[in-house]
Amino acid sequence: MKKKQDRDCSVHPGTFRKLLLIMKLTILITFLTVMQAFGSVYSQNTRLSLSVEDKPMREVFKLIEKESNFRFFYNDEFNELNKRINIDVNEEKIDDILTAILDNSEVTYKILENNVVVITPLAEPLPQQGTVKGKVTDASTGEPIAGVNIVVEGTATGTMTGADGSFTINVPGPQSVLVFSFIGMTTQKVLTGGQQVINVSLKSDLALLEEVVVTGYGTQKKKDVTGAIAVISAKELDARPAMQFGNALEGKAAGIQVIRSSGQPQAGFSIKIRGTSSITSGSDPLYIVDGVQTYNVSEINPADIESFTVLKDASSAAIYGSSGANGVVLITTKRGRNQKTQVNFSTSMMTSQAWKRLKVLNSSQFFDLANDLGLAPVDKNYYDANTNWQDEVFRTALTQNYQMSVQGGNEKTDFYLSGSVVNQQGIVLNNSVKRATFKVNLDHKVSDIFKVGTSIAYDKWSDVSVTENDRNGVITRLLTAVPFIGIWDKTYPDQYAVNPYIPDLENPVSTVYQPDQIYEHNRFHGNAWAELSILKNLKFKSLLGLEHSNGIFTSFQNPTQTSYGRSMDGLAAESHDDYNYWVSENTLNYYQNFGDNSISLLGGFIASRESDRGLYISSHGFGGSTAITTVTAGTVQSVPEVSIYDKSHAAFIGRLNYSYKDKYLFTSNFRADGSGQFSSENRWGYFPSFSAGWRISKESFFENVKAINDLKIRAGWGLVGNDRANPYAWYGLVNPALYITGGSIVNAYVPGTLENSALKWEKTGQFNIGVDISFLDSRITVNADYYQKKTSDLLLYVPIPASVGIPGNVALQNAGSLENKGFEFQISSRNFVRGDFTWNTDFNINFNKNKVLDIVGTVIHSGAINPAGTTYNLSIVKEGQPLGLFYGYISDGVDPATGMIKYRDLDTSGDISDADKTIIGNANPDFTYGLTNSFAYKNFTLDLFLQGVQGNDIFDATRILSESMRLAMNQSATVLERWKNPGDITSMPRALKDDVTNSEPSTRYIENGSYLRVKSLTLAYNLPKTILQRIKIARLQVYVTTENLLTFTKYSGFDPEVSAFNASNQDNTSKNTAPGVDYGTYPQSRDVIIGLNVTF
Amino acid sequence: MKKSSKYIFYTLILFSTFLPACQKFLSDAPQSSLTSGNAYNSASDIENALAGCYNIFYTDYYQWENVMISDNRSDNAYPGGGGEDTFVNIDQFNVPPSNSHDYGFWWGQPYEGIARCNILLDKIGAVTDPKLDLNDRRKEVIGEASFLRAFHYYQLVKTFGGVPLELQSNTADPAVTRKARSTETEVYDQIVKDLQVAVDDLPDSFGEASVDKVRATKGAANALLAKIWAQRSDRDYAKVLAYCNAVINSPAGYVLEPDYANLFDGANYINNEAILLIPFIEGSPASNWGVELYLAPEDGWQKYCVPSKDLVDAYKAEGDAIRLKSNVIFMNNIPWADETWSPCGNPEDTVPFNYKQKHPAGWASGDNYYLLRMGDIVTLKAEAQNELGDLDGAKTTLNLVRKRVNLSDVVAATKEEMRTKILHERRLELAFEAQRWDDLVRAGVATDVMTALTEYKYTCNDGTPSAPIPIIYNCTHDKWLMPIPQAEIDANPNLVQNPGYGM
Repeated sequence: MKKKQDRDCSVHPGTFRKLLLIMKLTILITFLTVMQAFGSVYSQNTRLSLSVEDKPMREVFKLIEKESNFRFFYNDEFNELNKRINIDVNEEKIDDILTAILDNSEVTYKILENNVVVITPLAEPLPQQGTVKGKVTDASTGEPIAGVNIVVEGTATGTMTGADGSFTINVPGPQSVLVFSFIGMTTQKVLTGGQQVINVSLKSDLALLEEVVVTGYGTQKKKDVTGAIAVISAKELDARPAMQFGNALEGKAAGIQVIRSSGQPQAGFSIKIRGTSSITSGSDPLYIVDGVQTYNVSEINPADIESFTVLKDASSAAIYGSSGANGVVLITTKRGRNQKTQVNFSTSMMTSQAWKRLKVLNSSQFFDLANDLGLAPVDKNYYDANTNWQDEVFRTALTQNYQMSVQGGNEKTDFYLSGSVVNQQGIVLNNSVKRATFKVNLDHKVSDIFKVGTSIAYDKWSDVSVTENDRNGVITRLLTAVPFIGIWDKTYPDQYAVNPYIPDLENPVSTVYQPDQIYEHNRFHGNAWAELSILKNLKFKSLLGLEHSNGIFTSFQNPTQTSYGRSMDGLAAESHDDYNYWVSENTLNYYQNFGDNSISLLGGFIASRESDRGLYISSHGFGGSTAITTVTAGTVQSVPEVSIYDKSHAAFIGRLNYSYKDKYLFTSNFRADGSGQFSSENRWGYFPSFSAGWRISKESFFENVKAINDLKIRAGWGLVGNDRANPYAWYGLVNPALYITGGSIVNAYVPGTLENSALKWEKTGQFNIGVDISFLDSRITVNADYYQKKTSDLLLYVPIPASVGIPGNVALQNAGSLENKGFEFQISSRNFVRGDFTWNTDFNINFNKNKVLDIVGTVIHSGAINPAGTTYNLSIVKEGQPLGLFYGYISDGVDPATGMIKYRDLDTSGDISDADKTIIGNANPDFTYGLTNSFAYKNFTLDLFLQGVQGNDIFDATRILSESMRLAMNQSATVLERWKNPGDITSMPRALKDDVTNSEPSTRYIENGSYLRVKSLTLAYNLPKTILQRIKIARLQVYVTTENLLTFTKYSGFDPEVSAFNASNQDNTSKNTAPGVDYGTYPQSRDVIIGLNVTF
Repeated sequence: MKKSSKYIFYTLILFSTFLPACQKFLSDAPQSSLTSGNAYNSASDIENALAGCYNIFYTDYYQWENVMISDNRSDNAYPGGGGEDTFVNIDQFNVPPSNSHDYGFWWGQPYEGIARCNILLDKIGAVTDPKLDLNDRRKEVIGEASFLRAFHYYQLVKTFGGVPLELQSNTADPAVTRKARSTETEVYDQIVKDLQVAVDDLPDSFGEASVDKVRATKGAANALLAKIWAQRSDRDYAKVLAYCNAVINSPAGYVLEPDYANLFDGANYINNEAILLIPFIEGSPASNWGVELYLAPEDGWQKYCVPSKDLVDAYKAEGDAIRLKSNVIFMNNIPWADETWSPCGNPEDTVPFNYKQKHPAGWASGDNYYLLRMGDIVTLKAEAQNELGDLDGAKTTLNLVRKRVNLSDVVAATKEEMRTKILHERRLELAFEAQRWDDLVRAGVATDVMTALTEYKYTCNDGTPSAPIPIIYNCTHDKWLMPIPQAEIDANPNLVQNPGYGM
């Protein structure tokens, strides 16, 4: 099988070589023909007679010289000239004689015009084919390594080791060099030297010290890095099959918090690096994919990702100046290599289920409650159902995932080509995502000094979403929809059944389907670059990157099925969004070694612009018809809304890396960043950074410390910026509106924002100190970092008095400051590395403390919910306190006399008023952690990933609805414990119609949000080589993964991973300041994935 | 090296040419919005900005919240709406300072209207477009904006008492924006000042009724002057009478429409009684969604501002069939249980609805709202006459309103008796027009009326209504004013809360 494969794979490169040879010969023959044409003038037709026996060739030539006027030129050292020959010719032409003499020799001849005959060696000695076999093992364990890439240097011939580490490869000759490479191992080159068997043991580069990591606008050896960065490699990504890229980052690196705002597959992830460093400005990191920024990270096919580099501190992110304040995530996709063409196919099937159900009242329990509330009775013969809405709405969802990629290249051109299709269902009916991706990465070496390349990705996405995080969302309705109705109305079967007490309260199945919400998105993302080596050490690179995407969101509310639909007589809405981004990067890179000093310099100019055009149209009044569901068919058309924005940036960047003897390392970045977000007076921000490292282990005094293999101390400081305000933030915007005069509609202007030409960059200064140690033969590596970052000149929507009359009652200003301090600790250990069994552990833990230093003496209320008419702000931002505090009354339990909640009268005024509200909880965890254990035994691998957060509170605002006992809605089964008679001792208050007293935001709803989760468990089996040979493939892996298998938590809601205000439709202030709220949040699912990976 | 310095040289040249281009490249400017820098240049810009001042009438406050804090708060209506706490709180005088409607709608939206007027009045001086001065249009614009600013301040001062006087709206500087509350008198004085500008600058008519009724006119300014001189604590009924007469005698020809029902049938808004109204066009982007909040039970959800038994009884006791029919509609087969009218949700139960506007049209009604009309001014004139001692004149005036709804002449022996009769007449005439609460306050009887009110709600026990549960109206003199919103106090620490709201 191996042989067959090798032959197959050398077909293309082999053909190529042959072609080259033919071309060379053609040129030579043409040359000779021309020469001969000239020669013939003189002596082409001269005929000679010659008879020699067993004489060296050189003597034969001398004989000819004597007999004719031909003169021979040759290199006297040609061995071939000593070849003894026999010849006997009579009156033959010189050509025929020479042909006869040189037949079967390794030299050839040319006859020049003055009858000079030049003897030269044959241009291309025919390669001598040979087969080399061998085995690749791990130097530290002696274990065979499967999947090692082997190429013959300078050729396209290549192969991979099988499951037992063995390989077979054809080599051209004894001078061939085999290159063995494997991720995480030091690449090794071996001269074949005519050997038939070559066994290689690769040294595992445990600390990946020689690993080159992608940093801003370039790469750096990991050992030279002086900032705080985290790298997540393909190997780690492989251990957890991911539908979305966020899975891959989750819990894998210290200081990186992956927040899932919802279990809807389209909800995606948001990522916070080292805490929240803004209040009203965006706090997501900057995502750079192959050098080009993007916001649509959830559309990336995770299988295309080669590695992540996360620039956590300012000294590494400062090169990105703008928006680097929240950290930078650099995503590098897979590229071809000078390797044998490799075809990968993988497929997986996933089933997902809600891992927890909440108990709610059944029909008879509800009727008891209805009686306590004094509700009008319903006809129980008519309303005879006992529906468990969770059974009706939650489903076992099915997801299919198909991936195919082809990867390869030769010494000049490398390529990577992939396509994927994912069809994912959510655990709530009707909720789904379809994603198709296509990717090409191509690199070509035009010449030794000129290289070009491109990365192109195209994605197509469509999803059907359901409403959540709302009192009318599907999850809240699962708990509050009355159980005695069915899905459809008995009397009007084309209408969804409603709560007869509150007839606009639809059942959750109707919420799932109405309105019908479909989102479609197409995205092109790519770049093209050229790199010119002006000098050996000076390179110029120019890159042009583009992203273009368009999204269409449509929704249609059926005119018959729901009460809202009936009141609007159908409602259609459609929004279009067209996004364009381009970036032009031009950089010069220079490096030089002077003795023990090595220096590299980067300078560049970058310009970029993003622009967006959005259109929103809606209409209602469909005359009861669903024949046409587009906006056009509605009779009442709203005014179309068009929004256009541009955001332009220009920047000059510079970087200096200096190292002395690899011991003393220094890096400095500088970026001057101009942003079109600010008026011309304040457009430019200047962002410097400095960091230094000391590799103590390289010092002579450390030579005797054998236990420690590597020890480096790093420290750095830098300043980064943030300009992510709403577009045109500094302008006083005036928006179009209308009024009626003289019976017709006329134009109107209404002021929207206040002009603030003083607006400027938000700045984050960050100090970082860290240490990297590896010891015990590099089996254990530890990275620890302490950081302190202070964001000042916050781009803050400062509350202004509503009496100023500006909508929103805020004005964007550079005001206030915010601090994050923390400690990160990461440890990787190869616990067991002998025999057939290996066991590795990676552990990381983060402690972050956030504090609002200054918000100009004001207080910001956020996290607004409206459970029944009144808006409650669940969160509060106050000076001297962290972001993410909950606000409300302190509940002292239920008064046994009255059944009412006793709120603490903090101001001792005798009654309960707003003045008694206080801070009642903290959504910030004490620490978050991730623990990965990887086991391998023979052909089996087992990866166990645990993730947890500790010490945080959750505000379960869902219970404000599901335990309020004030409206005619179903309630959680916990209300069975409610107070009924004076003297009852219980924690559940009484039922009291229309009275909100007991359901005010209070400590009653604050719960412990800590959890530990078996996030992912993967068991994989690699088919052994013996079987693989039979079925003629290189690698075949089957695996089974479970996600969220077990969750240890005291939280009573559906799921402790909640973040109602992190949904994409929320404003930045709520995202940043109101974490940890559950308000009917779509829960995370428990998934089982079975999958297959095949490599040909 | 020589070659490379050439490259570096060229690169530097390239970069330095970028620099000046950079500033231009970075000058992002809005395309789908105007800016404060370019929106106020021409005469038509100013007309659009003025239309923007009127556009505030399309916000929640003017589409229905003002009715909720007047008719729902008073004895005219129950909150309805299935017990949404904000409206229950309004009804029962329990609005906390943290209430978001208090902040966003009752306080915030009038101030937003004021800001639009402030900005226009600030910008108009620099506009040099000669078209703006054709026929003294500039003066009229200033008059209209001044009127609107006064109108909004009137809403604020009667809801909250003295409020900060913001006459700039052009900065976020805390030193400027964190204004202390002016006194009630200072606010009214500012209103008078603005209205005097309006009276001086505005015409009686713009020449077309469909314009006159939806724009500020001299008549509207006089009408509002009449109202504010009655409403302020230091009232001056001589002025009230004078301004009422100015309206009544206006060349614009304001008269009581002969048929009360026509005023509210949805087809006759441009009439001689209307002084100022909020115009809407059915099914257009300028339609009225407020009506759906009161009407159209067939869409299945419980409506707001449910007429009270006390109001219905008042119409019935008076024998006032015309105005009852115009303002209240009774319906059966209501798809919910109403805790006062239909506690067990029996289909045969009759439930009344606010019928001032009659055509919900699926959230896109064309029904207009009267802001100022002759029914108000005529009854106010009667009030002024009575307060000034002209009992007979008051009776004559009041009878104009009674006559058109076929009611007999008013009987009152004393000024005090007449005062009660006028208050009662205005209730029946102006129900659900956001007048009742102000009338109760002006008459000084709000606490008495609300605490004397006997209204009940019921629960349902096994299909039969429970014993009546009295609704407690927690009204005290302090509750005559709404609380200064807590969010506003947070943003402006110089504000002092109204008494009775916990601080």
